Amino acid sequence: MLKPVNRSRMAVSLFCLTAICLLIFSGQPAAAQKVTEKEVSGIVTGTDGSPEPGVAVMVKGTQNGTMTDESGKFSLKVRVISGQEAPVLVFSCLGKEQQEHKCNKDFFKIEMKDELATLIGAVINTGYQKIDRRMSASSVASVSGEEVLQSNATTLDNMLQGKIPGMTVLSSSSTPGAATKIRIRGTSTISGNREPLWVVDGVILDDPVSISTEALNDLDNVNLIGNAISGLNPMDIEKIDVLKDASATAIYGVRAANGVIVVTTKRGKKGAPRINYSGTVTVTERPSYNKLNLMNSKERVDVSKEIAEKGLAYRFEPAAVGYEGLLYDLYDRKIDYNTFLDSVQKIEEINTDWFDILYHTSVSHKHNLSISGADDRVNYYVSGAYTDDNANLRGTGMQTYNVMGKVQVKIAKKLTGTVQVRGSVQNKDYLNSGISPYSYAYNTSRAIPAYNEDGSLSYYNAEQGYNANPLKYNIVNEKNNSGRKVSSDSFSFNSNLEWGIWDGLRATGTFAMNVANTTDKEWFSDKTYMAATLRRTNYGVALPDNKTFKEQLCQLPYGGKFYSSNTRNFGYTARLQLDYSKYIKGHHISAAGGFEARSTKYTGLSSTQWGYLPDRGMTSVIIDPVQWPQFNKLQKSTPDSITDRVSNYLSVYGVLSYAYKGRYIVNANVRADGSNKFGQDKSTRFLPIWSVSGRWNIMNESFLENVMWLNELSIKGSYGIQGNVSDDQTPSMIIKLGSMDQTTGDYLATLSKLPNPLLKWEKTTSYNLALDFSVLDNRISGTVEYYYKQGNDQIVSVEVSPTTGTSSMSLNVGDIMNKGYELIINAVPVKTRDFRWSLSLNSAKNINKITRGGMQDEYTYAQYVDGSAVLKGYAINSFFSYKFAGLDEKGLPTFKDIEETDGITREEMYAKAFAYSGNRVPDMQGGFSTNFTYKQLTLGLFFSYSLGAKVRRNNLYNNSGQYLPTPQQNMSGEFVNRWRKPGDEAWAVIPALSTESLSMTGFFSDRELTIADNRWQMYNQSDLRVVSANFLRLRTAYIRYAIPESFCKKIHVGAANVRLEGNNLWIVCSKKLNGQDPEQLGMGNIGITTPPVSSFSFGLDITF
Amino acid sequence: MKTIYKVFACASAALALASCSDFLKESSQDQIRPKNASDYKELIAGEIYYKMNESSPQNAWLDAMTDDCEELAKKASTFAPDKRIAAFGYYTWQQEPERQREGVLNSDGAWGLYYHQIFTCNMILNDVDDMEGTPEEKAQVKAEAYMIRAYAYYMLVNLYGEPYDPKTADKAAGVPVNGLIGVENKKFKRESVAAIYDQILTNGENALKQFEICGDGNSVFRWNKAAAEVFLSRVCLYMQNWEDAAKYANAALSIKADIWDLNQKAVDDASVDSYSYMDRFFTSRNPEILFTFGYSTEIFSAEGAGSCYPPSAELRAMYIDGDLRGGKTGMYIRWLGGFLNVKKYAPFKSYMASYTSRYGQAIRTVEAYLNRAEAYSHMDGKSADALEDVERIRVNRIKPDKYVPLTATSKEDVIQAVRDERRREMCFERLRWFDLRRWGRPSITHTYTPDIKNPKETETYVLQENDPAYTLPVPKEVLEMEPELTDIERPVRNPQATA
Repeated sequence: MLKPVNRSRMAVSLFCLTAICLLIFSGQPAAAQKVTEKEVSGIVTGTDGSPEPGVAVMVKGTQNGTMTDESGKFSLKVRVISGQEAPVLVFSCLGKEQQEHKCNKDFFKIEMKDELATLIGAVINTGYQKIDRRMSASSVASVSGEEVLQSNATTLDNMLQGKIPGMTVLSSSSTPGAATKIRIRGTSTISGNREPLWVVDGVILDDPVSISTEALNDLDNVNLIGNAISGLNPMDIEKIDVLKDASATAIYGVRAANGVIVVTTKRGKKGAPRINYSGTVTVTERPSYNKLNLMNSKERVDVSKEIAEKGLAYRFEPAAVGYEGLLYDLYDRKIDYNTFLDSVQKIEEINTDWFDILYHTSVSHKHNLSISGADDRVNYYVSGAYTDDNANLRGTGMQTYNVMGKVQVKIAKKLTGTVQVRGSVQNKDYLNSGISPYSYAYNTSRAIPAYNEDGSLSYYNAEQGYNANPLKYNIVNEKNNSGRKVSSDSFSFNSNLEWGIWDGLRATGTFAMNVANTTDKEWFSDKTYMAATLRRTNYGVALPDNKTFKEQLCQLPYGGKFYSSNTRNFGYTARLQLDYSKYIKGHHISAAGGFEARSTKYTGLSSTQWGYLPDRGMTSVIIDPVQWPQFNKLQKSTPDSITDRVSNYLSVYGVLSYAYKGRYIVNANVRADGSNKFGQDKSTRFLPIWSVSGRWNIMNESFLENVMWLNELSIKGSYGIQGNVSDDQTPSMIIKLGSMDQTTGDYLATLSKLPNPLLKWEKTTSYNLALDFSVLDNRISGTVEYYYKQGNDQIVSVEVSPTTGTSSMSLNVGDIMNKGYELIINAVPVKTRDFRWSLSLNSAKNINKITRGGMQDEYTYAQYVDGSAVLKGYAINSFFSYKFAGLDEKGLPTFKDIEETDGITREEMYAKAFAYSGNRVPDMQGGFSTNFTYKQLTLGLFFSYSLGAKVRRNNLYNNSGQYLPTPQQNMSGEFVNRWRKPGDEAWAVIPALSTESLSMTGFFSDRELTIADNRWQMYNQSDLRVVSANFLRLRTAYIRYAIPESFCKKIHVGAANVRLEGNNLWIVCSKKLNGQDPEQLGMGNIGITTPPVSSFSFGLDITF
Repeated sequence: MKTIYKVFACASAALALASCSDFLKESSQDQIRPKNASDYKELIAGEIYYKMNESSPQNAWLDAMTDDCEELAKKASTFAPDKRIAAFGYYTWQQEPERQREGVLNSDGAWGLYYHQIFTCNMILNDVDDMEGTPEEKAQVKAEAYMIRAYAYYMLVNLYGEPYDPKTADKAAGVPVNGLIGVENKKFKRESVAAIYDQILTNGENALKQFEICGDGNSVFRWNKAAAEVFLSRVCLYMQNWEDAAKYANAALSIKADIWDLNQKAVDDASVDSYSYMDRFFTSRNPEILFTFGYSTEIFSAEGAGSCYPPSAELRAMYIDGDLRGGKTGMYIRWLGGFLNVKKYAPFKSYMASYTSRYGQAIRTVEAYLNRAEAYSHMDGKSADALEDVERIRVNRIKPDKYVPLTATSKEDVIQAVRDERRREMCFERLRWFDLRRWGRPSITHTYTPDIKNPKETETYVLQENDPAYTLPVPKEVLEMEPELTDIERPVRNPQATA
């Protein structure tokens, strides 16, 4: 706590000192010169010629200034000193490009350009206010919608990686509709939600289905349902503002501690109606074996041969498939030796391409049509879009329909109304989540066929069923008889009325509502292996008439499973805001204050229907629970659940800012929220959150008056405090009402929250310091920022002794620190009439550290190795590995520091056995883009990079214990270099084929403290298998050709261009990854999504 | 900044009060802040009784440590589980009984379970007076909470505390007392055994006072006055306070004195389908049951035809011919030869509540007679009264044609007769272990067959007389968190070398 205060004090005093020195220096009066005063006047208009009222006209470096009147006219007295250069007039206005003109004439005719057209981010939209970037002291990064568009992505969150400094985007995949995880300026909470807040056109959006914090924070969890902005068409986005520091986010209250992403949708541009069509066709590659170091049929059969020759015994009878299967047939005299040899040769040549069987090169297309326009009174934008995103995984994909309409009408001189409607329908087809296609293709032996010679499906034995009859598996059959469908329909409405009450005073009323219906259906039929494992017999086999089978084994005698979950989210926001802005002789005061009421309601039902028969008119078998007691248990384990939850928030907020002569800006924000959250401590309602910030526009100082090469120079800083009240803080006991006990007839209630009066608020203090500059006619501009966030008294769930009456409790024992810097540099090195070359670089470094809390002994070894343990002195998502110590004389893996000594505590044992491997989340992520424009042709490249993260290589063994590779299992090509004979341990790091269980638990391991399940798992999760996940990815490369105007005219088109784009074309990453994607989920276990693949798009853009 | 806070606070408060109190009214689908005494009644049912009925903490294996059990090492079918493995550490009085045969840790959840019950009752008792509800409703909640706390301390001190001896009780290591009413990461120390028994009696007496207000209670699924009196008489027996033991037993019997005549039951059973679960002893038809709770353990039963710890030959021999409790068709121990492929004994007292509508454990009127008999047997000149109580039970348990009254003469004989009857009557109700602890802690021998395919090779384990292993160790998960709770020194126990 002490450190940051000192640091900020130092920064502030340094700041003041510099300021004073500069002021003294600049205040030196010039000696005896002739001073005259002249009057200048002029008219300021917009690009369309209409007068621009309210434009500030200042003499640079002085307090002297005025504003244009209703007709855009101004007049001003200017002091001219002879012998010196003429003073400079500065014209500035919110949303317009600032202009400077030497005062060398008496009448000025100024045309103010819309700043958005030239420099995105000139106006910052916080959702509550639009602020001139030069007047804002907050840390906000802005990017235009056009800049983030990426042909192969269909939702906004998937397009943002590397685009915004300080924003880390994780979990990219080529599975359509999979939501990403976003961290802004690191992870700032231990137990709370780590995702940022999404705001679209000033309205906070909620996720369509509420997901638990644990699932959201779990880096391995894949959200296929979608997040708050899934229903938004990326083509409708005008710009994105990312609010990063406390000063920017304070206005959103407690929920904004992780940052806020404000999306502004498009509006019409002044002029004749414009009709725009854009279409894209994208070809997505399928994954292949090319880059992956996996065994082919021959190599895999060789391994099987070695197992057989060495006489190694399987612990369980392996599947009769592949080489082993043939061997059994030979032993059972089903085939003779010659047939055996022939068959072996055959399977050596099969080389089944599982990737081809499960994946294909897919073609997707998107179409977008918009009509927009504006005149003095009406501004409109209407669009419709259709996307058919065919995934490269066969049988999956996503279809999206979007519509949006937005009309702004100037009803009277001082009254403007806006109405916006947005609708979207999304249908997503996925495989049943019990199937992981990428993982299957990766892990399955290529020496077994998917189809028989006659074209029918080829099954292999996967598990023993009833009476040792094997259950048969084929992935194609599995895929064809199961599935998952997620469909979401959303509609939102946003209206807004703005009334200019009086000079500088404005009132705005906003009402917005949104509704989203999400249906998630997942099923498998009785033909699948998933059903067979529950039934304990293969499909089509008559159920055995046996008592044990009926009463103890069979869980699902008939049919399959149908799970469905429907969630409806309805929310509304009502807001009344007053804005005041006054400019008096160099003093600019602006203030805003408002009330907001927000409500969001989730209702839903999820249920599981057993006995589902999709082929029989989607009916279900009624199964007698008395006759099938195991079924009864199964059914009881999947009860229906109903959701009905309302969250209401009532907030007051205020913003006050004061600017002196456009040089010194001071700003303060405050917000207080109350909610209907159950069980909260009443005294913590309306807990205020506040921030103060300041900015010094050095550029506007008189001593820089004549420095023409410098276009902008400013320093800004902010300080803010955010508090968060945990759900667990409750002064009294909360109980949860349950069902009824049939035996006793008593209603049951259970403890939900224990009185926890000692719990305090979580508090985060943030500092931000930034420098903005722009030089050489804005050819080079940039921002450098430094921030420091200290979260104190973070709530951590701590395991305690059961003697207290509970096994875990929430305590304020965590402190978490985030600091880092961010950098953006934009440059235009070459700019001629025909050729323009621009560069843009952004980079951010984040250092995250738990400074208090996170006790070592409260976690399991699994949490250490998967990075979910929160440990003092380490960053969140740090993970640990066992220390590999080479192979022993039998070719088995050994590890350092795993011996258990007498009296060793779990904490000491962990500290000894585990080596820190790194962080799963990169500490540096950024992007680099460059564009070349020559006449009609533009070439653009966008690279994103990520540094500092570590990842595990794909597992070589099953974590639950390996023994020998099963016949259906493929093996990594690394096994070629395995230990084969004594002496190999000198160089080999891949263990021998072995039947040893190498158990680390149980009676024979003689261990008190569990640090692993077995040594095969330890091998997978050893430091040997950790590699850097650093990468530089060419995310986008495109060539755009603008069809010449003369040709467009001929075909009666306003403008047109064609675009060829490639995505994920090239990646630089560690060679040790063996073709594994550095962003692949799952830490060695391949998850259900498909890693990113290359895609190519062709796009056409026509404006009429 | 202070003023800004104030302005905001006022504005917010005004706003909240004026227009939006409904908007910010706390709302939840299924959570409530208890307002009414009846909410606590539901909480006791859901958080305490129901959770005890749903799963079984380690103390369900108490009987495995006694001489009422022996092993059966046989596997009739491949699907039958070997039930011996899980309780191996208890059956052979290992230094760390939580470890299964293969070393896997089978965490002892009893400590946590009972402290959670104590903590829950602390909170309930702290709040209940501020709740809405009639004095009777509140008294009922309080009475139950006191009894749950009393029972929890009784279990804890008998599982993890040293045996009660009136001479050393104020020095012997008991268990911690938890007085928390909110979440607090506190460290505890062991109190003396006497202090814990004091807790039990104080809570019990408080409960009885509340029962005066609310009435005796009429649900067998909740603590009621009669059950409380029986329980307190048991506690007094443990403390060798014979006067009070008899006093509480009398009080219990004055409320309910029924004994189920098993001779009559056999006649009734003719109307009950023989495959029905209703022919069990713990059913709604049993008038002896005062309070039923908990879970029955399957390791003593060979149903499913697997290896287990069935009743010992020694126990079986305790039942004379004609005793309806033992023998081939006994109510407590039954020969199941024809029903399953393997002939063996299995306790037949209890079964799943969903079939019999009674839970796996109970406090019964019969115990009041036994408690009183035991108290009388130690008092001078009360031997006859003691025997009378025993006969009251026997006459309802033995076929009339085989019934012969006992003929004990000396005080010692009477004491032994009462103890034997208690063993016969209360078998597999988790009392035997506690009784052995107070009856001189005799030596016990158990055999174990490591490999059922090789039944001739067995291991022999011996619990010595007065063995420290008559006290269970503090569960590992607790000791790890609170190493300062020093543990009982239990010896390492290896199989004895066969002569």
